[in-house]
Amino acid sequence: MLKVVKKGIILSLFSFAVSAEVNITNKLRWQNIQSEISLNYLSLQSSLQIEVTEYSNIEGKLKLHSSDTEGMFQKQHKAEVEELFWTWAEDDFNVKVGKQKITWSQMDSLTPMELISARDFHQSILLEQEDTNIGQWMVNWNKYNTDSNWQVLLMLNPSVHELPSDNDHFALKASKLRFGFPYQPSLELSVQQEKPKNISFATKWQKYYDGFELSTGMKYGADYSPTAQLLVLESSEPPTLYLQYSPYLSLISSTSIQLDSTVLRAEVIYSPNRMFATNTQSALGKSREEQWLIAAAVDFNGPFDSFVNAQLLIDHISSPHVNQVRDATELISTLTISKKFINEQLTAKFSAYVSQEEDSLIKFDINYLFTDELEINLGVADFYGDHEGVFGQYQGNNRAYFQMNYYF
Amino acid sequence: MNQVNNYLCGLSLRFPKQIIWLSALLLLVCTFGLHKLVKDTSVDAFIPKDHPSITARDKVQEVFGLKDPILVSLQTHKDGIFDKEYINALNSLHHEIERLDNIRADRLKSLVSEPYIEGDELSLTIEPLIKDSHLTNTAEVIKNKLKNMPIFIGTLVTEDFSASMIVVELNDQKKAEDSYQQILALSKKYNTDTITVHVAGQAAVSSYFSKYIDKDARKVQPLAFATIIILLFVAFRKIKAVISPVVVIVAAALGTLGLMAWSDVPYYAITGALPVVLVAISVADAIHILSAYYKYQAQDPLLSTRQLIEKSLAEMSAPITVTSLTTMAGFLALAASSIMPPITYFGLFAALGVFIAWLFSMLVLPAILLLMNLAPSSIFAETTHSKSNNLLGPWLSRFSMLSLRFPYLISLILAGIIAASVYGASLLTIDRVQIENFTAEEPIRMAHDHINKDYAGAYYLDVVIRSAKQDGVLDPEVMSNVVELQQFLNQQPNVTKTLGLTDYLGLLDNLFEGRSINVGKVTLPDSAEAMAQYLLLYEMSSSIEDFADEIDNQYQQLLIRVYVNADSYVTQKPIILAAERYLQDQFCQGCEGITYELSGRVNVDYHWMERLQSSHFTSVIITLITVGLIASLLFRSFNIGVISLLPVVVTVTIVYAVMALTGIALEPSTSMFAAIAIGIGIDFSIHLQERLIVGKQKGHTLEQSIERYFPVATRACFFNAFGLGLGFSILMLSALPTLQRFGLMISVACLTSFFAALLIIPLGNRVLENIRSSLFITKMKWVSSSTIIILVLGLSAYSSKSKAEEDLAVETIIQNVWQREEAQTISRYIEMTMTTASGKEQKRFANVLRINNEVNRKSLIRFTKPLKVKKTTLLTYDYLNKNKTDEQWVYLPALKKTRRIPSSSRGKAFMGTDFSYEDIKSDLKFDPSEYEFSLIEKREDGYIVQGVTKTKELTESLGYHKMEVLIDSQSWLPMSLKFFTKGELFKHIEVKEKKKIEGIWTATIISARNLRSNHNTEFRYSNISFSNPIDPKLLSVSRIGGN
Repeated sequence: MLKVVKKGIILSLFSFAVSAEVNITNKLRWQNIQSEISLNYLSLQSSLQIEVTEYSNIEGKLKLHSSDTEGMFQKQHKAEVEELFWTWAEDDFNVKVGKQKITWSQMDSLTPMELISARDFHQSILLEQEDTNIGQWMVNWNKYNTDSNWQVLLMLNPSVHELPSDNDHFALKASKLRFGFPYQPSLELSVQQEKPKNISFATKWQKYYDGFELSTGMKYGADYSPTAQLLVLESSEPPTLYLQYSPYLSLISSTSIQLDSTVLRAEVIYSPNRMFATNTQSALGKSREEQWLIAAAVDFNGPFDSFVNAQLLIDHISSPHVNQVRDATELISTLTISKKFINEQLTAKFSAYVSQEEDSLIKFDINYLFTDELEINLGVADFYGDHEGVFGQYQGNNRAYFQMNYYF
Repeated sequence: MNQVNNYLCGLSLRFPKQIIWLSALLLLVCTFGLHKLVKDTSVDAFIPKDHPSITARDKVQEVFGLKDPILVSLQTHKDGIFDKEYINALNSLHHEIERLDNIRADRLKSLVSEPYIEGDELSLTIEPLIKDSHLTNTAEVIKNKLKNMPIFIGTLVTEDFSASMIVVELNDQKKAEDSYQQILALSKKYNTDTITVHVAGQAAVSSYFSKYIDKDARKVQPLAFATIIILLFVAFRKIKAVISPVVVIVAAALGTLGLMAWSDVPYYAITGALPVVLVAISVADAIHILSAYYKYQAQDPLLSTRQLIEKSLAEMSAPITVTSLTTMAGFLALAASSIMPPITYFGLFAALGVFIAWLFSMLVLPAILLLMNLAPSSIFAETTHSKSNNLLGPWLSRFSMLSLRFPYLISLILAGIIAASVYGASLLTIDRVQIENFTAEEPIRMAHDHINKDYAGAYYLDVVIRSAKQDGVLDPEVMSNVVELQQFLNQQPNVTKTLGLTDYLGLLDNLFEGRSINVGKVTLPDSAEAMAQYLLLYEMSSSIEDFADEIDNQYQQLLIRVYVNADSYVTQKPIILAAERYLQDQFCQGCEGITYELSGRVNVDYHWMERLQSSHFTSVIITLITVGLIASLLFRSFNIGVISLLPVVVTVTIVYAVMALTGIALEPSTSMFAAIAIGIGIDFSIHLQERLIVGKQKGHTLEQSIERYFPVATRACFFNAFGLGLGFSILMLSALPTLQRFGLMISVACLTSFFAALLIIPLGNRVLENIRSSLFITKMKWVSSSTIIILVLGLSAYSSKSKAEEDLAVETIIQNVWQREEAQTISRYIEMTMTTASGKEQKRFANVLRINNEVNRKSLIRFTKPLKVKKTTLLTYDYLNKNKTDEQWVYLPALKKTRRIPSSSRGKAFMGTDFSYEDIKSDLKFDPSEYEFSLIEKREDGYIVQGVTKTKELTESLGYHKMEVLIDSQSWLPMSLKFFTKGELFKHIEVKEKKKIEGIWTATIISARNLRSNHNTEFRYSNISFSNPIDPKLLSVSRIGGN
């Protein structure tokens, strides 16, 4: 029997299961970002959940996306399966097979700390992490014990970061973040992208103690960020930019501790041989280096019933190559203060992101729930600081934005 | 910001006359409001009217009729009070006061009115202590009688019989000032060579404050104004140059006071400082604009007035706008963080005054300059040319340059000063001695000193004992506990006497039992009946109203007055804490239905000083963060924001140290200095920093920038700082010592922050340059600054814990509720409906699992609807051990991530509903160890019980101090819970439907209404099961997002 829950939508389903329950829910988003130009986008995100049996279901998310991120009123339309996976669950374990978005990092919006999900940089940090994570095709196996769990991920055809093109509002302008080369093709330069290695493997074990938890894990697989080489195939032809996503090993460990009513979180990722871009007098190259990513965060209920979150990230390469494109050490600290009003219908959030280049992003965002179905976001974002900085590179992108979400 | 400034400038230059007329008109309207201005100099004005300590005191006043009295003491310089002349004077003054308006004649107390109790085993005689016949006979009789009435020693007569007192209560405390003046006038008649009359008491203090304010208005404020005018003349050497700043000053001061009056905000004691503060601050903007004007005029005499104004405003409008913002931020932070209305209004209206000054500087001042067409000032011609006779600017620049020439030495000196200041600041005390606001020669001070030294004291702490039943406080067990309580309190430092019904009953018992008077030992009758009979017997001989101060007419409430002879918070605090601890731990542990409450002036003063302690440092931190953010945004650099903040941080630390070393304590008025000093002090940093940035943009080195731009900038800043310092130092001439101290501290702060900025700003910029060129230091800088941010924020994440209580309450009803049967496992579906005052509904649906065990209660709530929160899961471990913090995790489905979140305080709203976390986790039970319960009413269907929180920490954590609960006697479920905060009903929870499910009474529909917002939340439970086994693994963190 087939049960369609959502009114007005009938779905045909061929299934061997005896019974199935289908839930379809939608989220329609319209966003208008006011700057020197107007930037709109409309997206429809449909979630699908099919309860095939008591132990088995299928979940998916489809996104239809329309935006003019490529320039003034140049609409770009995209349809994308964000997630689609089948779950088989028993009492103590489950297996999820398909395209999924998995987040491992204990930190909020600190992209370098996320090992599993690649990210879409088209809207940079203006969007929440959940909206920019890119789904991956994988087998996801979880084993649950009373106070611990174990996860094994086998990623097939891993995704890599989606970087905005040169004429995008959020094109990377800082040379060190452009991996030392124009990362998108220009008229004179053709580009060739190496296919990342077919399989990535990751596993993590988490244990919960009284008052704190600890997790440790590893991942081996293709890098999300590229390195590049210029290849001259024919002397008469312009050189080809050859992008590579070299595999590397990462070990991760994280913990969270509660001290009184304050929560402290810390996370360390160690990569002994990650590949980084080098640039010697315009000769692009790469070099394997040892990388440490260390992040710490504190959450607490601040004065006047506010919620405060502060984070610090240190991204360090132990013995950097002399011509390495990026800095040997990069630091980012963030501060978020939010407060809810009117029975949580209204949320005001202030966020500040600062990198070591003294550049910053300051955001102030107000979210108001009109009804259970309709919410609006109003906000301003101000980038400033060094043009070479993570945030300062977007200088000129200061904007006020208005966003409306309708759930149905 | 620049657009606004340009717009204002354009407006001003296009319509100068119209703007001047319009602003004059607006100012006139504001000024007209001054006729409405009323003074409120009472100490009570400092405490919100709904503060629990005030409501407790009002309640005591209502039941026992006790109010803060005026104390009139007649001190004799002869051998004692027992002579005819003295007794006649006392008698006469008593009756004259009795005839005054606003006097509660029935409660006027002195030896003239009080009864003398005499008796033996068979009879009781009560007669006036002083009969008319005694006026002509020997006073020896009175002396003998007094020796038999120890209750009057210390309260109405001194121990050495050198003085006696008339205690005057007023009908209307608001007219206290008039009554005080009338009594003072009467008293003068009785001042002779042999008798001195002292008048003291809270009402007298208020009256004195009022007199001082008038004095200040006549002396200090005009002086401040005159000083600023002289300073302006010295700065610009032109009479005409003084006119436009004076307009700004007058507008800021009169406009603010006028708007205050129109807003019906009274003129408090500390408001006296407001005009002086505004005069000093508002001149700053004008000084900077005029300096720039004269500078450009000297540089290029061919420029037209309009061009000069445009250039001056182009240069100065941004910094003065930002400095106005930072100053306003300081005042607003002060307003936001204070609970004391006078300080809140001071902050708000000072911020408004700064805004008016800014608006007039940007709009009216250019208009006036345009119309006046100022001639060049010789002093600026000198400053601009290299061969300058005016050495101030260059000298200050050279001083500033020292930090670049000798960076290590200057750093070392600054570090030494900071270290010494931090040490000094650590010695700072928080205290307030109201009477020390008056000099030792003031009659009011002498009167208080006399009463505190010779009598039991001028300050009262009242302890109220309440019983749920009639005649309850006459229970012998309660009474013997009261006697022990009095004995305990008598042993406390600065407590000189306690007085209560027990003292009278002890006296009566001594008479009936034929015992002699034994001071310090009270023997009571051994039964409630005997005590009631004593009181009945007394009533038959006199009036039971004689005991109106000690017991109510239902014998349910008893008041013990504790006499304290010191006015200081530091002295009174240990008494309050000791009393609270004793009452909580030792008082009447076995008594049934007995509650207690502290009240009286000492209690009120203690509580608002406690709040001052916490709010002061919050205010400083908020101000620092706010002005730091404004500076960071202005300069688009976090680092420069921090550098700009450093001089004021150093300044505030130095001033704290100066306060500690000079013995000035943190009290309401002095506590205001820090926020104001930060708001004002950062202005110098901003002006200097802005000049350095301009220099950098033009490619100058730091040294070149200082050489080129600092002479004019530092000169303007100097006059600004000097003007502020001078303006505030005028407050030192105030009649009020508290304003004198405030003036001194702000003056020191202004000058210190100016000189600190001169050194620290260039030094900070040099360090920043060096850091930028050094990778290692870059790392260290960011690690350290980020760590500091995290540490500072982490440290402020203080969460108060409720104190564990071990002792069980005895009331069976409460035990029945507490021990009501509950299931070990619960699974249910919940529909939450939240309705706003306008009827708009929002719904949440969730599956709830719960396991109760001996250690904790584990709850898992997984939302199923609406879509926005679908699959979001909240897992909570509530520990039964209250010393252990509860744990919470949330599963975010979009990220497939589980995150530990800080546990919320118990009183905080649960996920936007009108239920608090406490309501959810308590599951309609209340811990008997946390509340003092009393039975209000027995009804057919149950009981109405009142629960009062036992500790202040618990009250703060829960957000209420009292609840009134209707308990169903069948199910022992609370069917209605009313919650009160500050005496006001603010939340009502009702069980709308209850069912017996699997043998357990369960609330199936329950609603909570917030009566302030009229917002309502209803929980409907369905699919309830207590028998379905729940695998504990389901409520573990490891699988919160699992199957």
